[in-house]
Amino acid sequence: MKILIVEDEIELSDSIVSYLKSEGNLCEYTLTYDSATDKISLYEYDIIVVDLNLPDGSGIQIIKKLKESVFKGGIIIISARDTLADRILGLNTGADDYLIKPFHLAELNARIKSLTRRVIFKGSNSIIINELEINTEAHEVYIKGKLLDFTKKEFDLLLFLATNKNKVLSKESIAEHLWGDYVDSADSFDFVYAHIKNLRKKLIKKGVGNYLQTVYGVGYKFVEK
Amino acid sequence: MKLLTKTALFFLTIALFVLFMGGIVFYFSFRYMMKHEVKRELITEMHEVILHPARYNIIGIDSLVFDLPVHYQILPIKDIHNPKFVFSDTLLLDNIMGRYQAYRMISYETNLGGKFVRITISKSLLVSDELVEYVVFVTLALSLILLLFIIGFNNYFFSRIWGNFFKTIDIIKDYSISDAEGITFTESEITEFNQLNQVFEKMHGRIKQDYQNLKEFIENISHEIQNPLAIIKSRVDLLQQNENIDKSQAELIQSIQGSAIRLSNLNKSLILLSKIDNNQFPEREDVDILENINFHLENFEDIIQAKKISLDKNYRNPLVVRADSNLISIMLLNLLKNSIYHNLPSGTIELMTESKSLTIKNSGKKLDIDQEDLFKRFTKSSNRPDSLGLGLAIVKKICDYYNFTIQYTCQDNFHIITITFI
Repeated sequence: MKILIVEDEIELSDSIVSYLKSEGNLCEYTLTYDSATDKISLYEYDIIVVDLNLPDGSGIQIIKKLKESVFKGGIIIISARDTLADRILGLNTGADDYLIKPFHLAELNARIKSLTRRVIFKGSNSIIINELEINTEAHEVYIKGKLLDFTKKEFDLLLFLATNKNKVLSKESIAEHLWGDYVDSADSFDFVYAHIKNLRKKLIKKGVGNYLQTVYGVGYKFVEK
Repeated sequence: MKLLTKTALFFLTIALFVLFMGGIVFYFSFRYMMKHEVKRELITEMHEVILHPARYNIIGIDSLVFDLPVHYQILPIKDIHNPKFVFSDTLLLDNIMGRYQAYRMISYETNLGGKFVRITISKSLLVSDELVEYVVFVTLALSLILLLFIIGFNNYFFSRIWGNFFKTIDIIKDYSISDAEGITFTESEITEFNQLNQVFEKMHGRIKQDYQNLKEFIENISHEIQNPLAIIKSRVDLLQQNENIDKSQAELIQSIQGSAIRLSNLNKSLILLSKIDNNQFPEREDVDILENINFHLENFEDIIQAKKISLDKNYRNPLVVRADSNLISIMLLNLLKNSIYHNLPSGTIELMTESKSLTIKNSGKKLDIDQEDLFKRFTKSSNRPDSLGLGLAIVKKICDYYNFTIQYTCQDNFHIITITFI
């Protein structure tokens, strides 16, 4: 995937780029409105991640320009503004997703992957890892062609881990992804632990290798062997 | 003391003093005048008698003519001692009334037809006394009417003159700095009131400007804080990918991660509180409370199950309020979150509706904080030191915003929160 990050905080851009690059993407970043408009007129991108507040312009204007051009990719807004009005404005202008700062890189990565499936690979909605097939549209998991019975949360958890495979995911980022506002920090680890345990049990029972590793003190990791 | 009462009392005191003093002066001067009048009449009478003694047919007789209220008496004397008019007061028996009356008397010694006589004329003061009494009575009555008039006059002019002043007070009383529109005062005929209004308008402008600056400052700060937080969070995410992290480093990373999340949540909650303060939720729509609760409960399902909490829904009637659905959702989310996170393992939650109220009753440890401080910002129980202590402050703020009443009671090991919607 070719991804452009438009974010004026250089350190944040740098983090995003290094995370996405390690996922095998081609990734560039730009810090200003002007250079962003230059880049989008010169090069083609699959996904554009754009901040709304730029020192020399608004991210909304960039999205408008993209929509007027031949751009066929996906647009994700990252912004500190969290009001409904801001979100509606962003999505109505043509963005596909809206992520509120501060976010976990794994979350951004999951959103980019989901958007890629939706916008770039229209129709092909399966993630296949060895014997494991995750159908993201039907919310179904197959092992060697056999359907597995997963709850919605277990499915979401597996998908989140699988889209960030070979990455360490902290318990906080997992809890935030699964429950959002509904989780309170203190108890979240227990819930994450319980869900991971269940998921692992189900997978092992069906004869799938142990993909889910515990990284001591930090979180969990989906390891593709 | 009210301005009206104060001015009325002031006027009354002055009026009473003036009337009292005026009454005394009037009484004495009137009496003096009457006395003078009687004296003048007596002198005229005396001249009359001296000029026409025959008309009175009383020469040489010690007689008393009952031509009330004037008595004539001519007494023969041996010699003239004092050839002047002599005035004196006396009491004479009134035969008709049968009692003594006050008389003013004039006596004069003269030679009348070759005889020395003393002519005495007495004039009853009864009439003049009555006149004085009458005049005093009329004066008193007039004074009373005047007093009533002053009170009425005071009331009337008070409302006419001070009316605009009270309008100004009413406007300032209802004044809220977060109101979008400015304040407008009615033009008054009185310069001072217009000046007062101008001062208030200027003050309002200045406060509004300061408030606006402060609001923008808070908003900017809150948003700017999210950027470094995003950097910390992303950097920690990257750091965690390092294969060579040992246990103690992992703990440090965990702690940074946790604090960054807490700071971010704190910031979001404070932004929300200031948004409610700034009246940034003007939307009004019909919000179905029960539908909202059920939506939240679905999302809480895992957590409720994990804590083995039993949930009892006891909805007697539907509840619909007109409000901003976002705010109502945040309020219910916070309440439900509290009832779950401050619950005991294998505890209970009971949801009840009754006409216009919603009650959430959950088991939990007894509060170790004052019930009065419960809704204050940053009040947290020592059971949950990691909580922000803003959840109930937000709930309270939203309730106040919509004039809902919220009530907390604690019975044994149950916490009961009731919200009455209007």
